[in-house]
Amino acid sequence: MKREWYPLFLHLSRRVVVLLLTVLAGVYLTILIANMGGRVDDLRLMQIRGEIAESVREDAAFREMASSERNALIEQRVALEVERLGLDRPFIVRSFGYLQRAMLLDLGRAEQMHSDSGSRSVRAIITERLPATLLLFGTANLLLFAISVWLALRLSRRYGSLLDRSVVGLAPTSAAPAWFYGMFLILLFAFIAPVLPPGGMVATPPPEGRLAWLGSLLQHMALPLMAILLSQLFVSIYAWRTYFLIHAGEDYVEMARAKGLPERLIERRYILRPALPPILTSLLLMLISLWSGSIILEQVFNWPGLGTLLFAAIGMNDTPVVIGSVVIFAYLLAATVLLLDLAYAALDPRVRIGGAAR
Amino acid sequence: MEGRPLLSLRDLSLSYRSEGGVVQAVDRVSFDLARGETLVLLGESGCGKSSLARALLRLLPRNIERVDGEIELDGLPLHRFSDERFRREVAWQRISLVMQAAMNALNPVVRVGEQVAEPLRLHFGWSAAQARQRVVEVFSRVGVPVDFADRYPFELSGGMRQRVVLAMALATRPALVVLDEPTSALDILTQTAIMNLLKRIQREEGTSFLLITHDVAISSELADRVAVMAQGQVVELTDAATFYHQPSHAVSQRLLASLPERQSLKASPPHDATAPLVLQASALVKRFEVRRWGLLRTGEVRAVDGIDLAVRRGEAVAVVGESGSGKSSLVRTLLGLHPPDGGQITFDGLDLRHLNRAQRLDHRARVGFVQQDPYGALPPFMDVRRLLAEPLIVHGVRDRAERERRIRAVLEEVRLQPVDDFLERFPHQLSGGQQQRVVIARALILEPALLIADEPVSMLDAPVRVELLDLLNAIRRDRSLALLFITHDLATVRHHAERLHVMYAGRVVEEGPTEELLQAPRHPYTRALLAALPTADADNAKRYRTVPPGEPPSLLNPPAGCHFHPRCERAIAGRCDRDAPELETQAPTPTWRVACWNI
Repeated sequence: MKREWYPLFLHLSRRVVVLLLTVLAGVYLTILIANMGGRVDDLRLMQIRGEIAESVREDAAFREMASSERNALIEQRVALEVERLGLDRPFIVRSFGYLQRAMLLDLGRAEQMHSDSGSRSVRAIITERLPATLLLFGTANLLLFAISVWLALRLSRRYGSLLDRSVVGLAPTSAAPAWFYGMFLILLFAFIAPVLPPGGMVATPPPEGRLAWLGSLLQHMALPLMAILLSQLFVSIYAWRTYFLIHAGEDYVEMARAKGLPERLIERRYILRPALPPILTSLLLMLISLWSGSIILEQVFNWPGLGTLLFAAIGMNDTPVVIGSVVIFAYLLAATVLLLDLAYAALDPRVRIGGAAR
Repeated sequence: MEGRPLLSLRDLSLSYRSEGGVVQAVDRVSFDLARGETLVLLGESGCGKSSLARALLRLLPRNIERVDGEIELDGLPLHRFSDERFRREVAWQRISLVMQAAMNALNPVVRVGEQVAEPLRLHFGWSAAQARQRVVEVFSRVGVPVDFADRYPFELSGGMRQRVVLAMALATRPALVVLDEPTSALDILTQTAIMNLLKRIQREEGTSFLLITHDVAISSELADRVAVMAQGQVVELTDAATFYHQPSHAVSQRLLASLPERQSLKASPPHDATAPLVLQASALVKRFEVRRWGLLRTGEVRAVDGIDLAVRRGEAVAVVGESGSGKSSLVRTLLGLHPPDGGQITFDGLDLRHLNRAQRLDHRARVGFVQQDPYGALPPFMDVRRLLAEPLIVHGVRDRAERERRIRAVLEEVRLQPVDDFLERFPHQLSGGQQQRVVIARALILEPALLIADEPVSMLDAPVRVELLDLLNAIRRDRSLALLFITHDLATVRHHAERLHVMYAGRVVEEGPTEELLQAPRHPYTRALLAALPTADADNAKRYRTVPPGEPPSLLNPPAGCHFHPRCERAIAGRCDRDAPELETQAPTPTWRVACWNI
């Protein structure tokens, strides 16, 4: 199908360019904001001057010096430090340097924090935390998708039933965020009936053996997953069941019925397939909103992910780590959207062939 | 017609649960259908004909209350079959369906060839290659290029899609095909081509058709016998010759009387050619650029390509064209909804390009607009009073009593009486005809000088159509209103417009006084349209109509020269395909102009 691949390639490469530009803009804005538009420079200058003055004053070797001489020495050292850090060049010029390095994932060194292995490299700190976040939220999202699409299809088949009405009735429970349910779940399953661990990712010390380790991980994941599902499941089942109901009223579904196709095939091919692109959109949008909610949720469950990291970094005013985390988030977001584009093209011929055929 | 009938219905009844209680949709209907015969189920919307078809195919909605009676097909007692047995043994193997909305009858994300092959593989257990073989066969049978099998529905034109739907219905060689308004969403030439095709298939393969339609003229194209339905019952069942010439039941007579060709000609006085001009457009051009990458111009659609138009006070002018001919763009340009890319529009002597804010608002009040789909044109959350008050409020009628007086007056004018019964109703509580009357009332309430009506009656049942066209005519006379009709249907404007413009691919190919023009059309396209006009005649089923080959061109890349030349049998090579003909005056009528090299 050559006629399909060329426009698809064009479409996707255009999307990649657009997404990169989006990330670029987002990251640059973060750099501007995290440095308070260059205002941070003054703060750092004062900090440097203070530190150097302190060290010079405390150094016994300089105690005998005249104060003017000592001041000159301090000034000299400050100038040296400023040059070393590049603070003598205007902020706007340096900001592009930062941008370039950030885009290339050269995230610099943390000011206060360090990774578990003791590295100060921001990239090392983040890559240590990223898998935990991806694991938790990726799993949550896939579970959410599978369960709610399956249930939504079942409900749309016999809407108005008791099960259907109770799901509809439960939909407003999604007004509360995941961490809200998280607190109750911890109370219930970790303290009142202690069957599951209240937080963390694996038991300490980590159990020996792959299988035991995996078991411990699953135990620890259970509560945060339940919290996420509780807060999202009913509303998405409700939304998608309504969506399927609307799609089930399309003429081509009736046509498929007239053709004598079995109900299962009709559901899969005539209701689910055409409805899939918008469902994927909402799914991935939900993933994105989960990520932004990860800061508090991970905090509640003491989950060693990016959210916890970002929370700590903001508390410690560690600018490089904040910027680094935002850059990673921006790339994750862009990757998600690109994934969505790919899925759309695979699922919907109107996107794949689109303009070329008309 | 010897032997057992193919299909036999005995006392079929069907009722639905609805908010207002149980509705009897089909009421003790009995008839037989012989092999190779076409029976037409004719009736207005809501008469139960579609419910009956759905009962035959077991496509009944969930709110069904009960189904009674006997259905026998090919000697099989279908009423005793379970749903599962029906699906395995009958559905699509013995009975298949062609739906009205070809646009939506195909799954948008599955290749059309696959959709045709699906029942073959499922019911007959054929391999992909076997099914493919049959798809190729039926596609060539219905005139779809074979390589279209790999395309998706959105890549096909409306006519092609309907052919694919037809191919799908024929692929399993069912004994009975139910045709549910098979052509009502199509343009007239496409419709005629599909009807020719159906006739040929019936003649050559002996398939039986059950044609369900509200359109008397179309029904005559296929009918062997006609069953007229009203309120769930068959009120008349007779052979075609009797039905089209001497219908006995009042409902049948009403249906036949609503045919445009059976309208008595009301002798309207010749229009005063010196009446002041209300709307004048000259050399109007509307282009749409097609861009790629958001920047590069890769082409343009010339939706309106140099059109002259004038409407005088008290005059009705019609623009006739198929879908995609640019007539909707013309309407939008004339309404001032988007600016023209060339040419000039003057309204009441004022150039639309040079209006200030106040004049622009005033212009909106001076032009009324009636859209095609009345239900879509009325906001569902406003009652009639609110709907009609809105334009008055927008145009500064502050006095509540004054508004009420004008609302009542205009409702009386569109004959929604007694007015008090309608003021508080919402659109969904009105019939289609009443909705369209409200739309017309809304267009009239600001006392416009011009009414632009875009397919005002195409969504309505035939008898209601006639009423509404008569109403528009009466209002035009009473108010000395200028009226511009936009339509795809020559038949509806026949007696309701004094002048006619025929559009093809963005250009006017022929224009002139309606009567004379339709007596002896000169442009090959106008001739083709007129030849395709369905008339109710029992002999129609026995003959094919001539239709120009091919489909209307895309406006993105229309053929060079005269846009019609690839479909024209009289095209002159080296001329028609090179130079576009200009509109030229035809003696002896100075207002009759034709754009054709052959005249």
